[in-house]
Amino acid sequence: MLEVRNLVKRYNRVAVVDDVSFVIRPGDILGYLGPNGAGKSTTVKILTGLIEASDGEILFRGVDVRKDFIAFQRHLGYVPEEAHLYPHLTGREFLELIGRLRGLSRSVIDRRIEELLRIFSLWDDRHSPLSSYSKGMRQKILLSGALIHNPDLLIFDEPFSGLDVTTAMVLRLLLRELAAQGKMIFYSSHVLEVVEKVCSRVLILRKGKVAAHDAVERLRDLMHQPSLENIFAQLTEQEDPADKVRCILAAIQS
Amino acid sequence: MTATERLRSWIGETHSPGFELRRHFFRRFFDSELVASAGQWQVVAIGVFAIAVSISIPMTQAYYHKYRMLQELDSDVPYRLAAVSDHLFLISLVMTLTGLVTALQWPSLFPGLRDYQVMAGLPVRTRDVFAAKLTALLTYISIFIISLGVPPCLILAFVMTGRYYTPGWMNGIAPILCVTLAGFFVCFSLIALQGLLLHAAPPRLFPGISLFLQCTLFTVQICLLPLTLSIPSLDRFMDQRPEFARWLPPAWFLGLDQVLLGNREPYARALARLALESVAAAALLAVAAYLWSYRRQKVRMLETPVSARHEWKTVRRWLHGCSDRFLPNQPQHAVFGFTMATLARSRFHRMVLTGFVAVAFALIAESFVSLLFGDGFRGMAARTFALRQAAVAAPLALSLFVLAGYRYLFRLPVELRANWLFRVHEGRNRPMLLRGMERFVLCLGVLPVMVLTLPLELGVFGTTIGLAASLLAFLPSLAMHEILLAGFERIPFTSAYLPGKRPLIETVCLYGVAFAAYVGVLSGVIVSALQKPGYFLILLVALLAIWVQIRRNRLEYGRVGILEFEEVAEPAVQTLAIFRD
Repeated sequence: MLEVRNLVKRYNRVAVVDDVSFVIRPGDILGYLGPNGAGKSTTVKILTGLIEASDGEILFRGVDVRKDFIAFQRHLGYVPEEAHLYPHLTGREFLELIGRLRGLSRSVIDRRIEELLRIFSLWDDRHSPLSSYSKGMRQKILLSGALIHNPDLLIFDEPFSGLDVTTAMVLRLLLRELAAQGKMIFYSSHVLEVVEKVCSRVLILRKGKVAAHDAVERLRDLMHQPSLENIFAQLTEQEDPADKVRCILAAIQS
Repeated sequence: MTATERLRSWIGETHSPGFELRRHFFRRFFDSELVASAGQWQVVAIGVFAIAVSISIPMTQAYYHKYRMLQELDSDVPYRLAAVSDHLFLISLVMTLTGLVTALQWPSLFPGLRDYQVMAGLPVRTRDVFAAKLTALLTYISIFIISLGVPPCLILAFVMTGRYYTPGWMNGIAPILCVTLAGFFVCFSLIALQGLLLHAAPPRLFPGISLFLQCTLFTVQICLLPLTLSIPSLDRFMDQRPEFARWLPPAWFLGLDQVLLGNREPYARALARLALESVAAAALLAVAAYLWSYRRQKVRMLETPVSARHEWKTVRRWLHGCSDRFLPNQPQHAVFGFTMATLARSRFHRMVLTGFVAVAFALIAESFVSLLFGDGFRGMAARTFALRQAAVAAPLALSLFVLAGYRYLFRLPVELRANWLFRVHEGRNRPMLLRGMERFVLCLGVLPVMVLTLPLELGVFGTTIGLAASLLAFLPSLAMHEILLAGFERIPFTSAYLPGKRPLIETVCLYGVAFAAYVGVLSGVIVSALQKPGYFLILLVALLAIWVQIRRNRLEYGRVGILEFEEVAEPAVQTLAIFRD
C-alpha cells in the first residue's frame, strides 16, 4: 500500500502542493486530476524522487520511503508526462539503458526488450534514433521502460498521450489487468473519460489542495452530476469555454 | 528623435521577408551554447569581433620594435625579407582563422532541415531562404575578415615607415586586398566543398561524412596555427622561389601582394594570376553549389527517411562478450554505453572533443615545427635531446587535453529534460555509475593515447627504449586520470553547463600552466631518465608510487554522495525565478 500523508511542496514559501493525502491499495487505480498548474506533476516528481517534499510523509508498505528511498524506487515504474528521452539513442538502446540501470541481467533485458518492442509494434524501428520517433512511438518506449522490471507501483503521468486508438485500448485493458494482479497504479491525467473508465478512485486537485477524493460513483452521487467532467468543472471552477472562444476571436480580429 | 533612436526604431520594425530572414540567419551564426546562454547573440557577436580586432594590439608593439631595429641595419635586405614574411604571415593567419570560423559554422553553411521545418507554414519561397542564407553568411564572414585583417595591415604599413620604406598608398591597400581575398577564397572553397558533398554523398550518409569532414577541417586549421605563427621567423627563406609554392594558396596571395607593390618578376605574376583565378573559381563554385542546391536540397532533407542503424549481430555479440568481462556490473555498463553512444552521435559533443584533441595536435606539431626550422636541426636521423623531448611530449600533451576534454565535455548536457531517467534509477547504483564513467575514460582516453603514440616512440627511440618511454608517459596520464576524476560526481552529459562560469583568460592561463608543468617539465625528466637504466627504474617507481597514492586518496577520501544533476525548472517556477526552496 502506498500512503501519502499531508504532502507539501513550497517554492519560496508558496505552496504548489498543499497538504495532500491519499492511499493506493494493491489493486487500486487512483486517478489524479486537476487543471494546469494544480500541482499534479509536482506530486509525481516527489513520488519518483525527482524533487523533495517540503513536508509530509510517503509510506510504502507501512515504511517511510525516506528511510530507504532506493528500495522504494526498486518497486517503481514511471511514465513521465512529457516524452523527454535522449534523442541520439535508439529505442532498443534506451530500453537497454533502463534495464541496466535497474540491474537486470543481460538475458532478461534482451528477452523483455524484444517482447515489448514486438508487442508495441516497434521492432522494425528498434535501431532508429528516438529523435525520429513519433509522439506515440516515444510513449510506447516510455511504457515499455516503466514495465520492463515488473514493478509493484506504477506512476503514470498522461500515459495515453499520442497513442493510437488500438494501443490506447490495449493500455486501458492492461491497466485493469495490472490492477487485478495487485499492482498499485497512480494515474495522473487530463482525459476524464479514460479516468472515469479505468480508475477505482479519483483525487481532484485545485491550486495544490485536495478538492475531492473518493470513488467516481460516490462523487457523482454526492455532487448530483452525471459525469466526471461536470464534477471536475464544478470543483475546479473552470471558466466558461464559450466565453474563452469569444475572447480568442475578438483578440485575433482586433 | 536622435539618429540612434531612429536607427533603433527602424531596426525594431518589421521589414520585407528577405530582410527578416537575413536578420534571423545572421543572428543564428552567433548562437553558441559554449560561451553564452541561448538568445544572447549580441554577447557572442561583440566577443568574436573584439577578439578579431584585438589580435592587432600585441602585433603593433612587436612590429614597431622589429622594424625600428631593421631600419638601423646597413643593408635593406633583412628589412625587405621581414616585410615579405610579415605579409605572408598576415595572409596565412586570416586564411587559417577564416577556415576555422567557417569550419565551426559548417552545419549552417546551407539551409538545414530545421530551417525548412520552421518555415514550413510560412509564405517564404525556398529561393528566398537560400538567398538570405548566402548573403547572411557572406556578411558574417566579411565582417570577420575585415575586423581580423584590416587593422594589422594598416598598423604594419604605419610601423614600417623609415629609411628603407618606399612611400605609396598601395602599402596599405595591397595587403588589405590580399588578406580579404585570401579569406574569401577559404570561405568560398569550404562552401563549394559542402555543396559538392551535398550532391555527391548519398543522403543517408551525408550527416556522418559531413561531421567527419568538419572535425577534420577543424583539426587541420588548428594544427596550421603554430605553422602560421612561425612564419615571421622564416624571413631568411623569403628570397627563395620554390616550385612547390604553386601548390600553397597563401603563396598565391603573397604573389598578388608583391605584384600590387610593384614586383614584376614572372614568378610573382604567375602566383598572382593563380590567386585571382582561384578566388574567382571558388566564388563561382560556391554560388553554383547554392543555385544547384536550392531545388534539390529541400526534397532531400525532408523526404529522406531517418536511417536505422545497422545491427552487426556478430560484432555485437563479440562486444557483449568482451564488455561482460570488463564491465560485469549492469549499471556500470549503462553509463559506459550511454557515454559512448552520446560521443558517437552528438555533433556538438564530438566537435568539442575534436577541439581539445586538435589543440593537443597543434601543440605537438608546434614542437616538431620549431624543431624543423630551428638552427640546430640536423635531420630526423639525429636523435637530439629536443627531438626526443618532442616525441615524449606527444603522449603527455595528448593525454592532458583528451582527459581535460572529457572532464569538460561530461559537464555539457545532451538533453537536460531526459535526466529524470538517471534520477529515478541512480539511487543504489551511485558508485557503479561513477565507475562506468571511470572505465570509459580509461578505455577511450588513456589507453588509446598510449597505443596511438607508441609507433612515434618506437620510431624515435627504438624498440626497448621506445617501450620504456611509452610506459613512463603512460603512468602520468593514469595519475592525471585520477586527478581529473577526483570530486567529479556526475553522470556524463546530465548536468547543466553554465556559460562563462570561468573567464576565458583564466582558463587559457590554467591550461598554459598545466601544459608547461605537465608536458614541458615532465617530458624533459622522462628523456633524461631514459639515458640510464638506473634512472629509468627510479622514475618508474616514483611515478608508480605517485599514481597509487593519488588513486588511494581519491578512493579513500572521495565520498560518493548524491550524484549531481541539474534540471530545467518547471515553467511556473522559472517565471518566478526561484529554483530551490
